[in-house]
Amino acid sequence: MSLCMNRLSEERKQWRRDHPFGFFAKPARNSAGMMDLKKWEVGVPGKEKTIWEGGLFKLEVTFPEEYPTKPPKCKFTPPLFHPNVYPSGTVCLSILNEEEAWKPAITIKDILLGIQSLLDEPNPESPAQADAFNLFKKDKVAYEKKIKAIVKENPAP
Amino acid sequence: MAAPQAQALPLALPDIEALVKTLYDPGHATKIPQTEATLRVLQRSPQGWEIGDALLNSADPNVQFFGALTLTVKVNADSADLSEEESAQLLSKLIHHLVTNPSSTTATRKLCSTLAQYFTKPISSWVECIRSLTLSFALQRPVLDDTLDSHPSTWDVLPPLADNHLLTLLDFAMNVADEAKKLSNRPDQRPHERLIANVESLEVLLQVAFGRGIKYLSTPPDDPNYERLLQAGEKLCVASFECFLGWIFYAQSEFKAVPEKLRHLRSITELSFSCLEYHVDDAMEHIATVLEGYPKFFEEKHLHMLWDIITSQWGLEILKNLDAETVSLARIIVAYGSELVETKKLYQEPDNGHYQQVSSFLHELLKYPDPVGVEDEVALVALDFWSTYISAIAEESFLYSEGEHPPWFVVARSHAFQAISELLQKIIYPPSEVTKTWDSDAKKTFKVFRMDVRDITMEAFELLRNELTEQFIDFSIQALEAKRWLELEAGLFCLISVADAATAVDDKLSRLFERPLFSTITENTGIPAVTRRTAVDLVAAFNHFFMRNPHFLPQVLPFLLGALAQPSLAQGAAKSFASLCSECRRTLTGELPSFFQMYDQFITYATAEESTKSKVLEGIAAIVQAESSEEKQLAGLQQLFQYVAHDAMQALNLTKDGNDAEQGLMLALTALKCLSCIGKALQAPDDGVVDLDEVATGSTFWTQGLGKDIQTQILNFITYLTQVFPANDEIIESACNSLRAGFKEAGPGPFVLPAAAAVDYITRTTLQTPRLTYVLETACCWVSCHKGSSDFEPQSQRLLHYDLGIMQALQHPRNEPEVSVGCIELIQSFIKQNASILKHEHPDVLKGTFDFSVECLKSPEVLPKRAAASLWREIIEKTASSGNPDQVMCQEIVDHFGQAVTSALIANISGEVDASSLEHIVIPLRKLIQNDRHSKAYISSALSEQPLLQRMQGEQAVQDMIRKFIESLMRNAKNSTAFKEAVKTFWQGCKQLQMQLAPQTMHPGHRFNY
Repeated sequence: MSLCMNRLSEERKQWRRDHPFGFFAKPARNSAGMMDLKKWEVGVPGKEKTIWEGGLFKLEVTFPEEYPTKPPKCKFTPPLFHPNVYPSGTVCLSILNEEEAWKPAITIKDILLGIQSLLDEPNPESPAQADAFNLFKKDKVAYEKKIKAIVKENPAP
Repeated sequence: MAAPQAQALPLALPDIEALVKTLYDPGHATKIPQTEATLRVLQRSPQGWEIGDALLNSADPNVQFFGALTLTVKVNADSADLSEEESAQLLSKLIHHLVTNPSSTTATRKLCSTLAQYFTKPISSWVECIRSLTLSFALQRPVLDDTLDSHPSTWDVLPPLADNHLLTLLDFAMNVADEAKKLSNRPDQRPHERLIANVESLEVLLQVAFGRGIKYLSTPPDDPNYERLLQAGEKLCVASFECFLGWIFYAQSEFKAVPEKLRHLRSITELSFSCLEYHVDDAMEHIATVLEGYPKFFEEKHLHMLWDIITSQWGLEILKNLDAETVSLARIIVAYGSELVETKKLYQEPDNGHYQQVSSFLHELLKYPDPVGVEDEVALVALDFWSTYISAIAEESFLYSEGEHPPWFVVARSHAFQAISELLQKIIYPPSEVTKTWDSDAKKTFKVFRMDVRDITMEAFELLRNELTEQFIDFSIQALEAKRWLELEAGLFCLISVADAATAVDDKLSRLFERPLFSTITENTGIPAVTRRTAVDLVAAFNHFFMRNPHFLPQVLPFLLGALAQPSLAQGAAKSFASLCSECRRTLTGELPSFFQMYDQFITYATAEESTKSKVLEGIAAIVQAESSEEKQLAGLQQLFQYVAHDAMQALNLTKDGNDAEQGLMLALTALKCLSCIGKALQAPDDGVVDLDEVATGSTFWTQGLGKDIQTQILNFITYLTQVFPANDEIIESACNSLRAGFKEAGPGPFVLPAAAAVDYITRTTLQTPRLTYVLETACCWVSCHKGSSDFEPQSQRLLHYDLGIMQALQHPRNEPEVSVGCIELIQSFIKQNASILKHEHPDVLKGTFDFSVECLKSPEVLPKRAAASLWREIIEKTASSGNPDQVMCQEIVDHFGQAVTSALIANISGEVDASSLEHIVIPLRKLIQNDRHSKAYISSALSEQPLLQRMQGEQAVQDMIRKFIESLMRNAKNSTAFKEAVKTFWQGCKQLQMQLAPQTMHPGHRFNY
């Protein structure tokens, strides 16, 4: 098995053994029903006591062949209204950037917890979409209302 | 003593002692911080050693403790400065205080830890610490390594020691193992070598201490000292066990080079097991901890011995009564079983009687009838085991292809099946009388347990496939027929967990859905809310099943509409309703009248608000879309629009009269949200048959015929509501969404408005409009969707002028960076679709536009920078597409602005841009080199203008760097990776120059990136 597959199967075991409440993460199935370890479907819940509480946001995590030397790509499906999410849905987060804070020791759990924190703590230094960033900067009340509506549309079970 | 030089104390000893006493004396709270600060200074002073020593001579236990604490502080902070002789003196002093202290006090405990910490310091050369302390206790004076040989063996010295001395020795031995464990991964092995040399003495200590403890515990009840001995025995066994545990885990990390030494610890195992039967505090927990963390510590014979104890009368009694001890014993059983799963024996040897018994015990752990959580914590522990077991079997099953499984597989599979059945029983909600007494923690525990069971079930599905699905279906059917609603809920819950994975099971599911499941739940008000909720979730989970089997929908959809009445179900029900109607629209047209009726009922509920109403109308509108003729669609739409109009009118009335502006706004939002959702539903489905005739002839039903009224209404809703509420961001968003609904349609339709309609709306917005970013995005969509429209050119001109107007109003991108992004993206859309429309513009207008884009490139804001880079990539690419009518226009643009753009790109690369935007800047530069013969001249000239590089003009190294950069750009333009690398190298070089020259003048926009 390649280093990438080895690591992913270990990650899968670790996740099953212990994962934070409300999150899910599993390898996706292709059309033939076979599991694809390099593509995961994950869900990140909004943190308690934030405007994101009660929501569950789905992402697609794609691992490159060079994983864990290179980081996976995390993409909200559908794209999320958030200052640090590109219009395509891709998350802009330092720990997911090979040239910034990515380290091979970062686990899937770390990534998902990082994304959860990012939801309520947008990083104004690296905006990724104009629309959400603009509302966030200009009108916090309207921004919060919009987020609450998004939470309602993506409720946690 | 160890003080390097005798210096006068900063304070007289009695004064220090008095200060310490005030710390513990009530009534001096306000002075405490000050006193602590003074004492801290004293502790860290060169005289701290002396002070600690002196305070330990006090009779006051608090002062003694403070003395010990002072020495701990000194050992940790200042021991490196001690000479060898001072170190030996310090050790002697510490032992002296420890052995002469009359009993186990907080001070002696502190001294034990000080000694342990001393042992691990580089300055220490103490080796046989346990034997040395034992002899010191026996002789009541410090005995150090150098004289140990002249004394009798530890075996002879230890047994006569008093209980208290044994306890102190155990405390020290535990501390020293814990302290040494903290040193793992350090290169210096000496402390470990010294400590491991003690393992024989430790073995003696544990033998004696455990032995004496157990002897006390077995005192017959008629002994006059029974109570006292029992207490003393418990104390000795607890301390021995803690010390034993500390050494086991120390050995796990540090005995790798000396595995033979493990036998000195393993020889204690049997004694430690005896503690179980005497119910020594935490004994079960400790054994479980070792089994979980270091199972290989136990040898085969010990494991058998342990299992015999578990299955003895003692163990069976504990398992019979569900209490705290049962949880501890369950931990042992689970760890025991997990180890057997790890070694694969448990499932690969199904005929082994012992393993059969272990498996059956593990099943039994799931069978306590009490609810999971406060009452039954055992299930939480047992769940872990079955999760491990099922994962292991699932993992193994991947190794074999279907039909080639080894013989053990059948038995393993049946254990997994049985465990899931047991777990299914455990996730049944207890009756509400019980759940209403639960606090939030208890609720959460139960919920987490159910989630875990769901995860395990998904895992088990890999093994058991539809056998499992059928089991859940049967369970649910039985519960439904017996009217056991909470059981029904559990069955449906499990069914949901396999919904995604289950395939080819429609006939089995039909068995469940052919029964009046949904109508029963709708009609029977006594059914618990949780069952109702799970049924709503079930519909969502089996969406695809119902889409394949739409004949069930007449039962399902009214159920969903009924569920809308309940606040906790309304959102989910509305969402499922919308998606099922949308997917199965063609089969549902006959249901329209009854759905309208139900909608009338629904809007009387308190749950009828923006999100639920819009979803339900979206569902109904999808069915209207499937109607066979435009006339029928019109009739449906008229009915739908009555609801929208009702909300819109009320919104206007409430606001106009100033009655209730807030409620007015809410209704306006509802009206527009419903409008946009109806618009979305009316889009032709992807799989829909496009009537080519209709497209070709371009039916004018909606633009000029009977349906025109609908389009007028749509525009009126948008116009009036945005005029009355111009400052609300959600109104703007919904208005845009309503307009966008028809953009991508291939054929005519009610929301396929004349091309001018959206442009009319967009051009009315200004810099003051909220969500202008979204309006500009809508404009981009318009451009990409209306290229084929006969009205495209004149409407595009209007949009272009509007865009220029916004840019003019902005003056500079920094004033509204995100709006600038929208403006640039709109220009890019024009370039992409029809760059030639720019040729009619006055040169000043074009200059204004492209100068703005150059400003965006120069701006430190990342989004405008990236948008402008993308725009220039588009323009430059088009200069290469010969034959394209836009080529000439784009070439003219590059001819005019090539130098300015190159200068802006080069300024970025010369250290101005942040790391993450660099890759965006690289692309247009590379395209320019590939496509424009002037590029080299542009680049050379741009580089010569860079202030940073100008300042370093005299430096040969910098000139070389520039020359190399230009060369490698030109050489590598065809190789994207090498080109990027060349740019990055130069950028890094410039960054370094910036640092050298004036780190303080770095661009403020970049300060967070480094």
